[in-house]
Amino acid sequence: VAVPSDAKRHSEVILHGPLDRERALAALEAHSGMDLNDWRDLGDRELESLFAAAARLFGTSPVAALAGRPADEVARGLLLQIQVGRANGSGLALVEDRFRCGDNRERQAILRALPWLDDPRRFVRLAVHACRTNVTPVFEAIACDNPYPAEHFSDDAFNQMVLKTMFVGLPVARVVGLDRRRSAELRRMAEGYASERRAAGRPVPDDVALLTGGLLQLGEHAA
Amino acid sequence: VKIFDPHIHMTSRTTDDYERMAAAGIDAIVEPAFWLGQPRTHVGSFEDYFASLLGWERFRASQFGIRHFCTLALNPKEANDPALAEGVLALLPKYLEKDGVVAVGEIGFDDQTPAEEELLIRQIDLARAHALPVLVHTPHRDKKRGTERTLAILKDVRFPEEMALIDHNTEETLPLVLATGCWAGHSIYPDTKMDEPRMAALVKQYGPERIIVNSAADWGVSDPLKVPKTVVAMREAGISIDAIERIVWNNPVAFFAQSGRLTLEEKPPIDQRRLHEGNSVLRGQLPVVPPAAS
Repeated sequence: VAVPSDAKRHSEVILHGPLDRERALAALEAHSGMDLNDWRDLGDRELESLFAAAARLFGTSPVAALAGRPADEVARGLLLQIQVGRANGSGLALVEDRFRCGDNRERQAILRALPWLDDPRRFVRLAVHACRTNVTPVFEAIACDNPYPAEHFSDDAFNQMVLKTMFVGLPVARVVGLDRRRSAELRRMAEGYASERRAAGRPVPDDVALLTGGLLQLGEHAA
Repeated sequence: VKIFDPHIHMTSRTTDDYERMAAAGIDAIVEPAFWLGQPRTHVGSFEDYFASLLGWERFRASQFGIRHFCTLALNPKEANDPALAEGVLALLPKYLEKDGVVAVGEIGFDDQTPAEEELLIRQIDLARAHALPVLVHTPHRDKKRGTERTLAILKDVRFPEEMALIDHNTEETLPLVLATGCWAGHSIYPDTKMDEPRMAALVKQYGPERIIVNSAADWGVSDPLKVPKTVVAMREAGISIDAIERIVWNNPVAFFAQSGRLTLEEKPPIDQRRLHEGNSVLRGQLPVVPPAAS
């Protein structure tokens, strides 16, 4: 069964699932023509400046070889990974600070890079907090095509994220690992949402059926 | 006529405003960091304010097809709180590196105190260090003297004049600014500052070169449609379309493009389905979708 038609409408380029760090590095080097191994020799201040300037340096267009991700987002993830890798115990504070001071694109890049960082579990509070954003592209960066939530979120946090994905009109099929995290509670919440919509005389989104009916093999369409 | 409002505090405005602005032809805006009508007493409040100018407000504007840029600084009023001033100044270098930050501003004089002067000079240095233009507020009280002092300082520290926009001009300050290489901004207000017919008269007298018009709309009695209304007033006064387009588009674009961060090329179509319900700014209305997708 095909993914719902909605899945394609919401982003200009459909992402091809999680992008691993080594592939990202090679593809960004090929795309930019730069030798990014030099980054390892840079100091923290320089890495932070590059992180801020990444859109000006690499551009914001999606690149097919980067799993359809924008080049600035991938560059920021790689820069962050280098810095967190050498930060030892202060890696969490570094990522939290970078997120707090970040603009929308920087925040998106941080959320997408979480699976690349050492000891990713320590960022779970940040990732759950990020789900509270009102900025749809930032929410999308954690909820869609990102393996992090299924890997690390509690049931409560994961279920809230899936419901919100539907609420803001993003395709639930883009939640990675949904099949693995299905639960009676998530089903109950989705049914409650459908019931609320029907009572209000409003259309019930197609994606509700994906959560209540178990019609499809979900969540891994992009892999 | 495509319109650029180079000075508007959208944080204080509603989605109705955004809707009316887009309908009136406003395509891009700059939101300068200023004070919020009451003093902030913690440096952290500025962090949240800067984050909102770089994030939430940019997103809100995009939902109405309006491109949102900002200028960041410690404003003249709050420059008079020494503890706050040092803290905010220490924050700024990090934020001045971000995308969409197209100048340091608003800086300048309010009460024309020594603290304001010091912060003006130190923030001009920051602008130089980050290769950014400056957006300079001129005071409401003792305006002519304040403008003269501002221009003298810029000259003193040898800041490139073409990188400075001196704002809130009147009949008495405009000739002073035009005598330098600085750009001259005018805030069209319902009661104070400048109004549409006076603005049209100034353009007839001085021409369109280095002239910029804004609404400076904020949390007070102000009007986010003042730039389009000034377009009408200038047209009625017989000013050419060409001159009007320079004033409300080409001039502000040329000024802020000096930052290297004014990205006006790509513009995603408005697709408010992404925001349907939940936490979006749409609350139950029918979303606007691009024609090709509907």
